[in-house]
Amino acid sequence: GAGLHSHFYVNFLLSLCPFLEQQESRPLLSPSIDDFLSETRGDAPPTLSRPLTSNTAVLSTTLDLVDLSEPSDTSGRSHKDHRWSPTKRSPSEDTGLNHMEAGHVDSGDQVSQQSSLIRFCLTPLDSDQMSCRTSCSLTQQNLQTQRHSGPGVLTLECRSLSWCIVGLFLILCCVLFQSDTVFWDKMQAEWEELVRRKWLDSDCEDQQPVQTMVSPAERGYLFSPNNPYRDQPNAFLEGQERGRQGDLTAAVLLLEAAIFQDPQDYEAWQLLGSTQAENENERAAIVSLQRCLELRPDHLPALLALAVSCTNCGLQQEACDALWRWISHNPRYNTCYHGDHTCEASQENLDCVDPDLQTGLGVLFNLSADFNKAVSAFTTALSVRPQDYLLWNRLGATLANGNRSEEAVEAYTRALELQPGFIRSRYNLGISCINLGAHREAVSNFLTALNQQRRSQRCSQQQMSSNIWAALRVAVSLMDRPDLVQAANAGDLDLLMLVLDRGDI
Amino acid sequence: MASLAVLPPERLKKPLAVPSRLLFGPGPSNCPPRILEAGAKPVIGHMHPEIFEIMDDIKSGIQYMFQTNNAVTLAVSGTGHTAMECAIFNSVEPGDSVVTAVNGIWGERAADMAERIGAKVNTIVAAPGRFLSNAEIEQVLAKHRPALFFLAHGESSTGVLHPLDGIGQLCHKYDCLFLVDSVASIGGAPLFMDQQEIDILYTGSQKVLNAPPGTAPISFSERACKKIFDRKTKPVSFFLDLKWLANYWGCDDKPSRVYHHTGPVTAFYSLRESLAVLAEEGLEKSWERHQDVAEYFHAGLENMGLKLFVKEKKARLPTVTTVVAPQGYDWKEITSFIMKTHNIEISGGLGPSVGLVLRVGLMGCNSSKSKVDMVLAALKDALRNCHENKL
Repeated sequence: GAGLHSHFYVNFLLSLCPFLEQQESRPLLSPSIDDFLSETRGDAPPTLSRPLTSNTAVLSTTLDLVDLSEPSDTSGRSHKDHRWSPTKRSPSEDTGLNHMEAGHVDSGDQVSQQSSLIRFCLTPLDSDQMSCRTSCSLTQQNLQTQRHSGPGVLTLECRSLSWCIVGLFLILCCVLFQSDTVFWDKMQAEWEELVRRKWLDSDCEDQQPVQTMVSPAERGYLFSPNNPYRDQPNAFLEGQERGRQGDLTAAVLLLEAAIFQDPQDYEAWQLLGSTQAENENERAAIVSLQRCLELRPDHLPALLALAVSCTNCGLQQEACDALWRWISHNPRYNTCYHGDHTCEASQENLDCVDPDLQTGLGVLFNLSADFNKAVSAFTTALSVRPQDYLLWNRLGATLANGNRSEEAVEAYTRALELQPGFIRSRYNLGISCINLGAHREAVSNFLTALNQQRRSQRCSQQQMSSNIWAALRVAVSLMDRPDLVQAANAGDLDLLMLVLDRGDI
Repeated sequence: MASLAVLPPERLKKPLAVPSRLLFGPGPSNCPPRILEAGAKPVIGHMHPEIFEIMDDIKSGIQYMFQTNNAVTLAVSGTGHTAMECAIFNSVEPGDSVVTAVNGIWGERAADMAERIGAKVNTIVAAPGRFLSNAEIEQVLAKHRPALFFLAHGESSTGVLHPLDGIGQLCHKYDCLFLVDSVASIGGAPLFMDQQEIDILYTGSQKVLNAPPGTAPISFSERACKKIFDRKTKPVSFFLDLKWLANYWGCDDKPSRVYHHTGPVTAFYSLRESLAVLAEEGLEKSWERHQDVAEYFHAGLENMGLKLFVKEKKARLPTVTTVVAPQGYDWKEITSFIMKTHNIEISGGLGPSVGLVLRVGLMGCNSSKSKVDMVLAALKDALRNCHENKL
């Protein structure tokens, strides 16, 4: 809880500087100046001044969510559900009651990507509690900060995704450091420094409108044809069990069967998503998890898993969005106020480590490429759940992405000891072997994984992960063996296994 | 007397620092010493007789490079975009119908420019990596009866080399001018302006020519000149007004050249030398070399398990290769890694190809097998080091 080191988090902010100076990999189209002018017609002129009165902001339990998703995201969530406009946001509406109005942006006909301005306004209610209010408006404003009257009021305006990540992180901090006003003043100062630096350094790169990576949500879920378990009774439970045993291919088929029998079963969708991720099939994972969230928008495991999967795909905005939703739906963190009373429970919970929160932090730090801090987060989570092989894999992936490949190998090995059928971890292990120049070991790992996927159901190539094949091709090509390259291109697993067994690799 | 409100910048007190790096992106390319040194020669007046000599050298060099006898041949002061605007602003009047072929970013830009000066613009679109058939082009010409048809020969954003044969003839059948952008292709792939009935052709100095960016060769056929000099309205740009430019470059039959604008004299020197280098090697040799090197490069890529974005071999632009961004990697990490570790620039996608491809340019002096080996080694290193692990 408040005993954690605020220093740590301040330093985190500073370390984000290089990240913030990069443009995000998917720069967003700003609305044209005309749109901006029409949006703010009712408002004060362009310097988005919306002074907050301190001590009046409260949080509702049903937080309106910042929809950071791109309008083209066809997850089924209607973009209209989360629209924000500056015009409704006026201080007079803050009556201190149980109401957080985020307002709506009249984004008009903007069907393509927008540049989101996210404002996180953090106001102390009194010396002990902090509430957080967020608002989002689509404008073309540059970064600004405003210091409002009263100590400890922190206003952060984030123009772009990178800043959203920081802002999101600060919300998490707010939750953890509610009573530390010194901390908040420091944060404000750090933020302003960052903005100043960024302002000086920022120059508009050639911001081309970006083509989204093929959003997996554009296609529906592709069920396996000829599913032998289609009519299996208790398919969900059976699928769950097989997953535990490490037979991921069978688990996937059983869960698909369960969904086929009851398409509204959101838990089955979520478990299918998580299992597909473990099986190194990210796109299927994302589609499944999004389907779960259509049915049950506040399902926390799905939100956290979606954040992870989106991070893996480089869908930074979607990942942020999922994390944000996870926090705001999480009863431990979306503090609620009823008049003068506060929820005592949330204060208490802050004293023990929440491995899920740590996972969220770890994902966030991965998004911002702050790998060392992500490692700390996952390590902390593991201290509470040392048998969690998913966490071991996450730790390993973070280490590897942060160029600590030897340590990554140790983490993956641990994960695989706990769950030998964990395809994703074996894939990651292979990647780290490539990084370390151990090409033969890499190939061996990939072949093992592919074999495990194929063996379970004796089914077609479809069950094997294309990612693993792609990585296998890379590993083989680095060995300068054109004969194996050919076999890899052709998908000839048997030949490759033969060559490996013979020791010819 | 009031004191200065703005002080001498501290930044300018630092010495000028320019790193050396290998430019294997889509442009600009590296400049060989001979061309760089030419640009460092003393500045003379932009209307001095010696400069006119150099400009005449340039004209004849461009005529050779373009394979044309057009009198109105010159180099616009500016880069490829300047030439694009020069072509469009002169040949198009408000209300004219214009069609641009869009198979990448350049058609989009041409359409934008034509719109700005009040043309009625229609586009015909091919998917990234593809090109249009003559039948499709004829269809759109018949439908819209444009005064001008734009096509990018070297579509560098997608790596496509667009076939040209027969299109000029089609345009003329429909009484339309044929405008071709060869910024990324001239010198690297065959092109015959007169033979292929191209009315307006332009390129940039900073690609195969290996000169610094700053001048843009352009040429206008008689047919184009007729329309341009018969305009009812003045071109919207004084700077790019062809009547003035043609006079400055001595392409008209006026007795003397009149001051229009100050030509970028040292850029003329480097352009002149780059054309001399091209003439020395010979066009056909240069085309062949670029083709051979590109094929060598493509084979090397495929051996690494990488895939080429343009499926059809004959449609692959030899000067800019587009590689499908490999699975499991963030393309930005690959390009950053290669820049940091190997001091080599390669690029990601542009316009419709953003996020989909890596782009490697092998142009002029950078088009050689040894350079290809360098790039392949760098890519291999990146593949080894940049693969993303999955949380």
